[in-house]
Amino acid sequence: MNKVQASVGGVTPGQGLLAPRAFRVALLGNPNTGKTTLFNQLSGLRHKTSNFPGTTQEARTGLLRDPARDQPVELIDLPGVYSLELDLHEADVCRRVLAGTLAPPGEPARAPDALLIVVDATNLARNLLIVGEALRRRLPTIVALNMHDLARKRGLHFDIDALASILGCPVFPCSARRGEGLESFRSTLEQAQVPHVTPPGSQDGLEAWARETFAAVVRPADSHAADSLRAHSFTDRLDTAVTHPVAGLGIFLLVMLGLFWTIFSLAAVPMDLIDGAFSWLSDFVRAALPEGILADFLAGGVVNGIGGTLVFLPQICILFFLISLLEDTGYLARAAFVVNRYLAPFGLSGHAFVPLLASHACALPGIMSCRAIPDRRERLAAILVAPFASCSARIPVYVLLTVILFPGRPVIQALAFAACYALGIAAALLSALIARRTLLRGASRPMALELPTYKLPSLRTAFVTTFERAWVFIRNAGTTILAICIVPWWLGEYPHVQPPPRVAELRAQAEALTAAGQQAAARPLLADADRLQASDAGARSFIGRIGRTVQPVFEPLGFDWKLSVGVVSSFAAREVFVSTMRIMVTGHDDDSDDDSMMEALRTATRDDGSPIFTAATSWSLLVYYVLAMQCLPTLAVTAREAGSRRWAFLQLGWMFALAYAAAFLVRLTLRAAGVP
Amino acid sequence: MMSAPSQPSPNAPADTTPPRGVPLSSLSAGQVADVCETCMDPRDTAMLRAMGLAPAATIRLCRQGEPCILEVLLSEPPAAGDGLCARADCRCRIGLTRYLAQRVKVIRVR
Repeated sequence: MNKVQASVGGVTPGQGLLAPRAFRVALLGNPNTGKTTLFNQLSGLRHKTSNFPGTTQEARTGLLRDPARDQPVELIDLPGVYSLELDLHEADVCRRVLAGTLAPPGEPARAPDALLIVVDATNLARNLLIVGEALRRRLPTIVALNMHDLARKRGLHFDIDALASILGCPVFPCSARRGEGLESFRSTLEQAQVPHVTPPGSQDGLEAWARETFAAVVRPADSHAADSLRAHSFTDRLDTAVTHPVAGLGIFLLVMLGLFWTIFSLAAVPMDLIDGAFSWLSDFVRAALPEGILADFLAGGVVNGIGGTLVFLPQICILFFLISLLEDTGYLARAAFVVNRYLAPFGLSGHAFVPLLASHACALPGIMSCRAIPDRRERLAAILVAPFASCSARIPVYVLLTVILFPGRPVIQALAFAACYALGIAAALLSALIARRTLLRGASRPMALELPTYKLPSLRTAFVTTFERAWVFIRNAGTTILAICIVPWWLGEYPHVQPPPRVAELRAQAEALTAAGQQAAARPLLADADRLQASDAGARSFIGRIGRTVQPVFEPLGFDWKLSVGVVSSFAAREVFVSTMRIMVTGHDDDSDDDSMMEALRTATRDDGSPIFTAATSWSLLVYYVLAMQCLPTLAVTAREAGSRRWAFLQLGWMFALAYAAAFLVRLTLRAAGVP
Repeated sequence: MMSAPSQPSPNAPADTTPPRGVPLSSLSAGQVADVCETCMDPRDTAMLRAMGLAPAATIRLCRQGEPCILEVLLSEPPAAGDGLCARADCRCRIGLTRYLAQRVKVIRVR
């Protein structure tokens, strides 16, 4: 026997001569076999998620300490595949990892020291196909017979020794969901060996081998069969209801309504807390450090940059937690079929719906959840169009412009608000269609999905998934996103300039009035001085200069230099537009009196005295913000998830071009119709 | 992509060639059938086959329409006895779009 101990004990370059090389174990199996649950159980939270280099395929690696060995065990959770031979990206990743030509980032590419094949005991006959394919790879192998408890309940009994003998490698029964049988993992791993059998290579032969193996190791069901058939009947009825064209859509909309209601209602408090904590931290840093560039950089750039992104963490955590629960119940696979019929004409399938829906909270988790889309081209199309969904960062802009357009008419405001969401969805679908007909051309694969058994969700799996996603987000916020947020902050803050002479005059007049006991008369003068100083600083900052420089570009959309500065300054994050415009128009960002602030914005004028927010310009601006990519963190995540920066640049260029063209047409049409 | 074979006329003379089967989409919910062929893109055929929808596989139709939902039962009973009852305990449930369901040919068993 070629026991695995013979192959371990090497040293990885870079780890030092004394650091033992990790014993690499790859987890392979069909989807829905509980492979990831087993991975989570074995590695706990000691794992990291990234992409396999040069791919969009998620690489999850975990580390566990084995007291019996002098080296750590590295687990690699491979993508779930039905066959290693399929012409699919996931199958290619599995093949390359098993062949030793692909490894998670930062790890040396080498063949795994052992292969752990996870099979579903309730569906062993089908799962034996991939076992047969894997055995032919001649790697030290062990097999985990997962969901053994569920199979027993169904009256299926396995001869484990016979199965191990036929497969030529150790087999251990377990229930990853319940954590049963996992203690056998380490001892079984010690016995991993290159299998001494070679299953047939042809598909027909492999299927016959799987059937014969199954017949040899499984004793038939007995009295449980009748109960089982009754359960089938219940599942049939439930499936019929949740996939029904009308009832299924209703159930789906209710579930999604509940999902978003939960996200927005539960996330509000922690988001406020995070916002408050970072504001406090920013003030604290400013107070603790001497006034100057370092304090400005840390308080304004670093703390506010991280805080501005992490404020969305509660939404992201709740979203992934709920999606994980829904997925675990078996409902999401059914829901994918409900929406498939609406997305298919646009080159997307039901797989893309959850990412698009999640993007209505924030595009970052939406793009991250595109990993669940199996087809690469469809996944890229979904990543490219996800930011068209109206995220929560757009809401302040929508509120500002709909109130300016329809003051005192809440019903019309609500309709305009809803139209913004509809426009975003329409743009996403249209863009997906164009992408799938051009760059990502290729027939849409008709959807075939395994529908997992309905079951109670695992809270542990949901927590682990949430932790994992949150950590990816935090890591991203602390590195890439922070780096790109500092640039617009610096451009907006610098150079520091002397206030214009008129500011000093106003302050002097206010001081004189205060000294004379006329505080009430002094207050408006001070407010005017503040407004003028802030407005002047904004206009003379680098971003203000850029805004003035690019203003001719936005002139056809009706934007004056102040609006142009607002658009440019909110390039990193859309919500900044509102605060920038407040500062530009009123001189402060105090939103304690919304009515007077809104009135000030509505009546704001250009340098020539004409109103900034005319109806045509406001509509043009609204359409621009619905469609434009004004979110640098999204670009960073797109580059990471799509596997290349060029997709992020394409997304930026396409969204800007579409936003610009649509805003221009809207203004042109309105002006032609006589709207001011 | 191969097109679906046309349906034989009911008045056509009987021949001795093996039955070509009917589309899966023509079965009623609850009917059991054996898969005889799939007429679609080879990549989809390979995927369905890997999912268990292989020639000779026995399936039970759970829901007709869009999506078509079926259960793949074992091709052969693991032991003697009432095969269907025994086979029903080891299965997987698959959802297919109507497009695919029309291209999977089956022979009715029950």
